[in-house]
Amino acid sequence: MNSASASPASSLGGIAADAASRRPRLAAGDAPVIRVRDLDFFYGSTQALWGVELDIRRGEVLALIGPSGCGKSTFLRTLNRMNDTIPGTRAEGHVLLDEVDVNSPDVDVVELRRRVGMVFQRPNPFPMSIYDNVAFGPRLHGRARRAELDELVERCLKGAALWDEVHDRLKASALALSGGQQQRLCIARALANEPEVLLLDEPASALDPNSTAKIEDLIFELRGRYTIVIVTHNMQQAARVSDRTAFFLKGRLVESGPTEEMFTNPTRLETEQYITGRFG
Amino acid sequence: MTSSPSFRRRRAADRAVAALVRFGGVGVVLAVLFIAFYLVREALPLAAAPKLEESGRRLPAVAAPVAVGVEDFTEALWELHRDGRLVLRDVADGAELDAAAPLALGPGETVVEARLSPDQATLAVATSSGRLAALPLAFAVDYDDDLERSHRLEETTPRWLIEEGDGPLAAFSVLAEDATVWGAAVRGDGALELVRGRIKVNRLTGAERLSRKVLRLAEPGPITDLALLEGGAVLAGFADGGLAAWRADRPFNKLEECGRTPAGAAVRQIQPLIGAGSALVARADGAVERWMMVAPETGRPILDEAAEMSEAVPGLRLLAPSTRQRVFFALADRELRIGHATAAEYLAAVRLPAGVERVLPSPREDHLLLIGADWVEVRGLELGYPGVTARTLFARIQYEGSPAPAWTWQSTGGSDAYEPKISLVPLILGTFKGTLWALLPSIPLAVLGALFTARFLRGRAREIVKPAVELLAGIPSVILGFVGALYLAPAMQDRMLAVFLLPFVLVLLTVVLAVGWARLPLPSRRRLHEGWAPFLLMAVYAAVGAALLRAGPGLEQALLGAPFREWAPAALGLPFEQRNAAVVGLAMGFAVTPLIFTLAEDAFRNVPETLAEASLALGATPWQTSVRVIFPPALPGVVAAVMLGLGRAVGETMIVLMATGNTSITRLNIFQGFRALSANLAVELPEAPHGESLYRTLFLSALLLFAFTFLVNTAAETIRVRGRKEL
Repeated sequence: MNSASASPASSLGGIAADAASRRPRLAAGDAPVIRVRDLDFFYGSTQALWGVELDIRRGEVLALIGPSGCGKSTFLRTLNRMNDTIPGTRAEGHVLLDEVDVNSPDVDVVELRRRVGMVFQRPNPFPMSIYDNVAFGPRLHGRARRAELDELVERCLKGAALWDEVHDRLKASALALSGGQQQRLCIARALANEPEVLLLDEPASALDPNSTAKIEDLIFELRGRYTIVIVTHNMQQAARVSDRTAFFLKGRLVESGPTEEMFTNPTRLETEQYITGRFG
Repeated sequence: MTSSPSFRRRRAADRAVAALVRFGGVGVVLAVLFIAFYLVREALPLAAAPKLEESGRRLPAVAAPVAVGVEDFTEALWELHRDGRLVLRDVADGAELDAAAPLALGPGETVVEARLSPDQATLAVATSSGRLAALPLAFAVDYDDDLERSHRLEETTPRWLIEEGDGPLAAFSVLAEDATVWGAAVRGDGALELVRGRIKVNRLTGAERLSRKVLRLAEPGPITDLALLEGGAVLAGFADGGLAAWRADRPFNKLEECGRTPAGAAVRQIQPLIGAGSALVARADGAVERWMMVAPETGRPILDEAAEMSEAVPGLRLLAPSTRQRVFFALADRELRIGHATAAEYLAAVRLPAGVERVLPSPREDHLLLIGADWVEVRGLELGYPGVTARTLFARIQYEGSPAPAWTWQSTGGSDAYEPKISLVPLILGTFKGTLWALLPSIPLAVLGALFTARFLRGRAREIVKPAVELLAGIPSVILGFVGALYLAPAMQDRMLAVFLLPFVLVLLTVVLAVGWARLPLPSRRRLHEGWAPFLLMAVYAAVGAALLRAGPGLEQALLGAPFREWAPAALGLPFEQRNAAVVGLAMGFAVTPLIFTLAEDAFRNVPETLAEASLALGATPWQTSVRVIFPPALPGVVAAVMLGLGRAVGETMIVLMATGNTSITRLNIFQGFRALSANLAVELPEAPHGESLYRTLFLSALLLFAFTFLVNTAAETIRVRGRKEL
């Protein structure tokens, strides 16, 4: 485990409070973008999620924390139906994106994934140029006009804080970038689809501290413009970047709330034990 | 560091294994090198030029003879003298061994000129009174107790073709065929006569009688030389350089002209080649041409020029043919050229001493006689493989009897005089034809199947499909060969149209089913999910395919109005054979498809799953993901798979041997067979006389095959390795 779990909860609370003070306040009481109701999830006959109920508000950064195998990644992947790619999986209950159940037969999974972008734990740029990586999504969805793409690629690379580092070698292979740059490229690639929600599955866990800091800064930048759900193992990261935090344990959502509150004054014993490093 | 016993043991084992692996690796490389070396060693002598000994034994002639030659062993020399005596002498010391006078000349009659047939079995003898005889030459060998050979003349009877002379003949030729002896001559009065002598044997007494018929052309023109070609055709050359040919008409009533050429350099000599299928025409300017009678599709044979030797021989005096092949010796002033008529080029030039008037090869072509006014010199001769040149291997050549130049492989024929046709072009083309028709359906099937298995098939189905297809690759090709030849060929013959329609029908069916599937309500789709849909689809394919093939013959009758095998030659101009490239394509597909499939499947599966995930997460459909994300990085692997399939198809032997008919044609027509390099080796190598031209030519073709598969496989491996590095 990282150093955060060894630190007392109060220091995490401090980080959260400090981060919160630097953030502009979001308009409270917005209708949530995603409402999850009574969600069960199965890998074959193994149940991985049990009755999860959670609201995700527009423009917030929600951190999902919990020990390994607690279902936080599974939960994240139900939001854009990425679990469909795994044979034998099944979701029951409701994941409502703007009040439409993403699992209903009327939902076009292509459109769903355009609206709900995703960035994975390991940077996975395509073996193509930086430009083509960013333009991949827009091209899929039929936006191929050169000028429009140029503008979009620049905007997304700037949005992912990568433009200054790569603007003079857009045609170079994406595989030549460093790990951190690759991950920011993956974020830029996801942004190019102009999603409403961005799912980040431990985006910094494979990166060095310096790159991690850049990713965190980026998440901070993106806050408000996109709704971000981030899975993280790193308590300090959760404290630094998120508005709200949800704690998962053994496939159940234990509790969720404003990050500052979760880290300073958790209501449940398991939460406190987890964030103070008692287990996990 | 202390070295414990266990450490030493492990180190010893480690070294032993390393040595073993190194031995294996080096062994494989050595084996490949050895094969290459062996093929080169067997094929290399083809490149050697003919060689004539620098000097030889010279012995004086007793009296200037009309004709000279040697028997088979080049141990005895025969001389025909003016008085009609035939004398046999020892080559070593010139001692007389035997003598005879088979001609029985009239009083005061002498032999004026004698010409030896290319096979040296018949001597055409013209006398001072204008008579013409065909004198068979035969020699007997006796062995004494120490197995020492001694030679004598065999008794033969001359066959008089012109019995009543009217003055010396201006030109003459004799041709002995099975039971017919032909004679042609320009008589003392300038008329051209063709004599057909049929040998009749009295069954009771065994006595031979010659029944003669003569055709006469009163004023043929100033003929300088003439020669008889196969079937009694007369080829004559004029002083003005023109050539003309005549043949007897069917009931043997008159001479019909069958070709005449405009004037040119004066004709010096017309020399038939072995078998008399063609003749060389030597002109005053040193040019040598090859002429023959060719049979057009319809009508009578006509005179045609097959080739002109690549260069003129300055000071050309006369030509002498070799006894077993289409090699000839062109004697010029103090120079000898050794040429090959089929190759139409000279292979060697040798300086000669002064005074050589004639040259003659020994019957076995292992010696050459240089004949002066009163001496004969015997030199050793090594012809090598004069019939195998770049031209005979790769260029279009007009062979004896064929109306036009062509690439032909017909290495052996029925008689000794057969002209070998050893063009490798039909074989190379055949190999590529088989490969083409095998790969054309295999590549899309194997590559798309691999993509489907690696990226679309889910669950256990995927674990079943690949080993099952790989099992197919293990079928011995001899089984595929006989299934192709004995089952597929006759079955496909009756339903060719259905076979060709099948892939299109199945693709169309798939599209229709896919659209229908997408419209099905979700619950019924879900019920069939989890990997069973493909198997259902396969059942549908099998049913539709069986129905289509069953309806095949009827379909052809309904759509084309005739069975396809009759319709194709008439409507498309494509001849149809039962054992054709389509059968091979299908049979070889069973060998090639699994190979390409399994390697391509690996390539597709080796593309990291994370790339597919990234693509799907961006909203790409599985198909878009396959085309845009999976395919590009897998491409080197797929190309390598196809190349290895290509290598397999090129080297494949049993299937093409059994299912093609092995006709060495040069057409890519899918409805005809072909002969591949590999199958040709399998057929002909066991029959080829060791060390002879054919044997070495086959090794050359093997080397070609080896080089090709080696290059293809190396290229495939290089692409694969490079592709793996980039990923």
